[in-house]
Amino acid sequence: MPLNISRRDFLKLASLLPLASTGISASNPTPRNRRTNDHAPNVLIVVFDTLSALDLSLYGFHRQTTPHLARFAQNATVYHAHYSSGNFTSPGAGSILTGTAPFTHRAINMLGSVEESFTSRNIFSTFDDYTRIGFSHNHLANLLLYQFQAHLDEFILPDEVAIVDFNFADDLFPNDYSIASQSERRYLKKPGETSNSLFLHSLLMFLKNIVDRYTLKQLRESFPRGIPGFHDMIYPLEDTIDWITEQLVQWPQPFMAYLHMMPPHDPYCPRKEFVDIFQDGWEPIHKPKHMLSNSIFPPDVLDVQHRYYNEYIAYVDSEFGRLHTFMQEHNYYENTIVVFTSDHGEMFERQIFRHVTPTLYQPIIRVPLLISMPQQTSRQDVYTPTSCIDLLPTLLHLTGHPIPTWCEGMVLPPYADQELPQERSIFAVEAKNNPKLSPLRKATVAMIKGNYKLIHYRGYEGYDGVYELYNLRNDPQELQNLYTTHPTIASELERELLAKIEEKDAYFR
Amino acid sequence: MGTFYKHFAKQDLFHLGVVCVFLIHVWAIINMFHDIPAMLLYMTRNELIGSLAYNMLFALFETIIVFLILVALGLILPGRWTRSNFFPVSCYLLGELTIMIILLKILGFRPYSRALLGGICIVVLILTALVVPKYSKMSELARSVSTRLTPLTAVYILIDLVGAIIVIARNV
Repeated sequence: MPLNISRRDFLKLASLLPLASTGISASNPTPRNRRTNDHAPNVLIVVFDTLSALDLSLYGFHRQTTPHLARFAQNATVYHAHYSSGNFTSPGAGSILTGTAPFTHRAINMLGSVEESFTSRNIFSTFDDYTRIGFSHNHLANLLLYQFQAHLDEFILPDEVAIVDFNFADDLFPNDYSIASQSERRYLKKPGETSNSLFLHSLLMFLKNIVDRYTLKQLRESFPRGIPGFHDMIYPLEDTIDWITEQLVQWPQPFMAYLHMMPPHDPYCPRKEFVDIFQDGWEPIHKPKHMLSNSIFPPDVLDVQHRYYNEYIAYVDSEFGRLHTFMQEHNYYENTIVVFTSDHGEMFERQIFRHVTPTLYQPIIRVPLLISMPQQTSRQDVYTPTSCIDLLPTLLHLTGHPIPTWCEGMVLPPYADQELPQERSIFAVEAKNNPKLSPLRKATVAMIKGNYKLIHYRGYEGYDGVYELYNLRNDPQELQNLYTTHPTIASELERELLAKIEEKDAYFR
Repeated sequence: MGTFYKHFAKQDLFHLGVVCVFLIHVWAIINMFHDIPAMLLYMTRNELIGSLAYNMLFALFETIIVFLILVALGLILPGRWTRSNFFPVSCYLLGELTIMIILLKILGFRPYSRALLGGICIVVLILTALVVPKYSKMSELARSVSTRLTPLTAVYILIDLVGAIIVIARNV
């Protein structure tokens, strides 16, 4: 359902925030004159936020959520055991962009940023002979992109594609985007908490309701569960995909673009034709409530939300399909490396809802990864466990760039000159409530090695120093904690995990 | 200007400003202190100071907006009524609205409770507008409270101005 420009312009005016149009954009619309690498392939990294691999039909999920991604996979390498290194955007995207784990880059807190040295050690600084573009709907990812903007030719904020935008700090304070936008959010829009504003918050909510109810009436019919958007913006994915197709033609080649779309992050708002397509009565295995569960919702409510999530994924997939078709028709696959991935997953089990949780179970850290090489004509499948920190060294390797020593990841198969070590350990870290530059005292760390996964919880009241050990091959649902029944393997993995934490903490003592 | 002063006494505008500054800033500062422990987790000292500066600047902006809305309302109403009743009625209305909004924020009412609270709010506001002008003691009380709050609000304004300077420094 493409939207025409004139309506968008009209709606932008109707957003009743004239302040938003008076400032200066944070993007730098004139790419620097690079092109020193004219024959190099473009790199397009497409990130869909909150996309769990376990909910994709591409990876065997029974609901047909991703037929278009399967089409893309026909000419791509599909990674079947790919892990995000965190359970929300800051650590996950931070790892994709720096090629390091969260206990190194330290974007571990909500609204967090990477440790200072990574402002010049990231994917954009390494592709310095490319036109480098960063775009995200997600405010947390934008905080990272803002940190890297010295190495970005274009840092594009989501108001570029929003039809309603109730954010003003990005326009009024472009030179201090990070702190200004965080302060704005804290003052006016703290989700689920009391905002610092007494009257302005209510006034803003009132205006938003008016805009939502009256000016978006037509759009509401197309999106019965709400119009996709987040962070006080409304941006149907259709508009973003249209915008990307327009930009692809304009970006000077070779380009390296990081495009981070918010859907299928909640709220789950599929287009009309995807609503209720999965009313199949399916009930997942109901797992026992976790000690650190964040949800008061009973399992049947979570099942409904899970279905809504799957329907939203199907909508996202159809839009990705449109982008894929455009790129096919315009021969972009001839000279572009296309990466499809996500920053973290989503959860509807153990009475844990969504992804703001101290846990690191499979639905929340197993994410899709597909890499399509220029002129690739067949599908390849890789089953070796891989991490999102591997993406940066892989892309550098594929484009002939040197891999810097600070990069912790490894070149992915089948592109590596050597195979990945069999007993390689992959880490995921959750440490929202740990001080950024301090040793990990309140955190969850998961280590995947071979068939085993060890999860360590530290600093949680009533759940401190707890370990969970699962055999992912025999027990992919992570139901049987083997920590006490398999003491040998447990202690071996525990030693390695603690040594790793100790090694990383040493920098922050 | 003549029309303006037909509606408002200078002293009343000053007192109303004081009440606006006080209510908005107290709430903003309480919440700001509530946020500081979380902000300390990941912010440097400069970032923290910057964030607090924006908070105070936004509070100043909100104060001006609320003050202007009340003045605009006063200009719509008949001049004679406004001149004698504008300050006490606005002052009590602001106080009541503040209590209602804080209740809404803290208790997180569900939609039906919100509608109920909204209904109660409208009744209370109408009653205030009718009752306050009839009792001069209520006006005196509002004025005396406002006078006592003046030194404190001066401190708030001073902090706002420091915040504004910090914000400007961060953006140039």
